[in-house]
Amino acid sequence: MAFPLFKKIVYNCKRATLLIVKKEEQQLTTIEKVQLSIHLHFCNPCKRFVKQSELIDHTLKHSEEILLDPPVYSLPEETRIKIQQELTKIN
Amino acid sequence: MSVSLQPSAWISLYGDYFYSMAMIKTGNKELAEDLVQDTFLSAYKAKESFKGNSSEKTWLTAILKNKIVDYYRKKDVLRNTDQYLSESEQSFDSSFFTTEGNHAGHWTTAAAPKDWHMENADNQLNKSEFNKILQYCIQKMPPKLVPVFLARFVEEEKAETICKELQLTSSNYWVIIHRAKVLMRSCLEKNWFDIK
Repeated sequence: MAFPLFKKIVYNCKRATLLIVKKEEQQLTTIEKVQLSIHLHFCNPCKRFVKQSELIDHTLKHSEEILLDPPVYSLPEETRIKIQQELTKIN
Repeated sequence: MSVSLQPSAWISLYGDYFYSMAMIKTGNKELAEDLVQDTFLSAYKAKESFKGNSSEKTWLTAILKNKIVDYYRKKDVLRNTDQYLSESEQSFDSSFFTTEGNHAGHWTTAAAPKDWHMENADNQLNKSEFNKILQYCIQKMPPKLVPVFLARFVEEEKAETICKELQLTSSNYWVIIHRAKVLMRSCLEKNWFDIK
């Protein structure tokens, strides 16, 4: 680890994960690409992060329906009655 | 025949659905109840504007989502983002990354991503269990991160749209997305993928 710049790239998982997350949405700059590929070459945990992050994206896609089907919370009975009354009032 | 509205059936048809949506997005019971009530009442008042181009459910969902964004705008959720992000940076960093010594900048041993047990993920029977974990992880996330997280990963909105809607600078957007992803990954690992 004689070169400070090298060390700065390899010993910065925070920056690497930020770039990983960014790359899922947009093109990285050339410098960012180089930094990330050097980092990933030396860092197994971040390599796992890449895969797992993709898997999470994939799982969460269209998960709105999954999250809500069936709905996880029940609107309390008192609130139902209250809303029904309000609706009747303005009817 | 065009689709017509059936306000008398709204609560029984969509009450739990909208309440759950509002709960996931705000994490607050009373607020979620108010939002549902507001949605039904203002939808009812605006029922002439329903053209039947979309389903009743889609139309009502759009109204609720607008109300939630209004709430985010008015409340603390979207205010002082710079301050929040810088004040919480150290605690975020130290939960995941080594701050001192030879390995400064690397994942801490405890937080470093581990191999996942994928048999859990592939099992369809576990879907509802997984949803519970997912909700738990969303609840555990700092409230400031949640709206951005949901807009980006669940609703798949574009960064540009999210920044505009939630009044974020692009650099704060990336900080939030990054933290939310790191937290979500870690929470899913601990509660789902690490369980044999």
